[in-house]
Amino acid sequence: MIEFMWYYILCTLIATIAISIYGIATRPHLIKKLVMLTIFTDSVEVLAVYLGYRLNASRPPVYPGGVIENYKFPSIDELKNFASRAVDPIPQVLIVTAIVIGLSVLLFLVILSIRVAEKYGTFNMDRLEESGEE
Amino acid sequence: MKSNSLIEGLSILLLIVSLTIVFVKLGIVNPYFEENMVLPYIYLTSIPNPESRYTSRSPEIVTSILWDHRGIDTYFETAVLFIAIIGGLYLFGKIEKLTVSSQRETTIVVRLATKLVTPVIIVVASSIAIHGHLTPGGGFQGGVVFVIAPLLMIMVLGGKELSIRGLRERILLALRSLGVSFISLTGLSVLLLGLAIGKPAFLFQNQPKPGYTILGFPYRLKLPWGYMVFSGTLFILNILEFLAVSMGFTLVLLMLDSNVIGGEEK
Repeated sequence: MIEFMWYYILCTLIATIAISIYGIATRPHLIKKLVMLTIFTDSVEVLAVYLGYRLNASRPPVYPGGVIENYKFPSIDELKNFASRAVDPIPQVLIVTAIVIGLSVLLFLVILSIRVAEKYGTFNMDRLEESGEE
Repeated sequence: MKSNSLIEGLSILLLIVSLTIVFVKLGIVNPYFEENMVLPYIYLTSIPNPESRYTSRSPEIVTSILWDHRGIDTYFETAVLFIAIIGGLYLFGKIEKLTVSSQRETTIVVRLATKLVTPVIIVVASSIAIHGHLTPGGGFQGGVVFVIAPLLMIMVLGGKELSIRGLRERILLALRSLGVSFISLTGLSVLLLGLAIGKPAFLFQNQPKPGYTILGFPYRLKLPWGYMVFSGTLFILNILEFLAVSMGFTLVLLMLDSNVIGGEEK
């Protein structure tokens, strides 16, 4: 049952990515394109973290017992036990980088669209082409 | 027309399901842990282990990979955000008229709740950033949580409330530049020391590497009330990154808020 749920959520995430790409391609409004772009990046990030999750190893990648004073170092056996129970940390690291870069790209695109709207008076790509022909 | 779109939707659904099955059958995705997953296994076993060559002496694996093993990458990713903010400020300097904000005031309930919640958000964000090398979290995560506070204040109380409290655009940009430049200084410091003494060291080095070099930051400090684990550069870089990310995104919010005309003083 839980394995079926795992595949079901995987399918849902891939479907969200497909729908958001469709939205970016077909919607003429610039802000709607940006909303779809945000949904696209977020679902790709969730998908990456999701692929790091293991059904038989679902602890967070933090060694338990970390304290500020007198931190006790673990032995090799404890470490191997910990590694067989923790989720994959590498997608989480990549996601932290991807979120900040996605936000900076989004910021730049928003400002560019504000410039476009200031010059042509509209956010609509179809009307932009009409005003260009005149 | 309607049956056509139904067929399209069904075929897309079929494509997605078959794509997932192909992924699973090829072994690209796997819901179970296996011993042959080399890279996460190496990271998980060597980072908390003090005798390993790749150790950071920190229980938090994500922050260790982020700032110790992929430090240069993370630094340039911070630079991307910095350049996006500079480009945004440049483009906003050319815009004469921005959209007009609504003149309506928010109700007393929302304003009072914002004033109560904002300090709590700031304290939680600082805690996430300062304990980033021991518990889940870190500089980015704390910084992004911090940004909720100015966002609430701009939306509820207006952008002028932030400048009354000293968060003006120039100060934010200066603090952000300070954070980024101190990150690069921290990354350079061990290498510069190694060049001065004539011993091996590398960029963004954290702690002494057994069998390679004795230079590096200590993993704990002796304070009057006991020892404090701060995992070398992780603690310093987390706090600097918290400063840079929180100030940078606050600046972005101030820029997008219609009350501010950025780029040049008027």
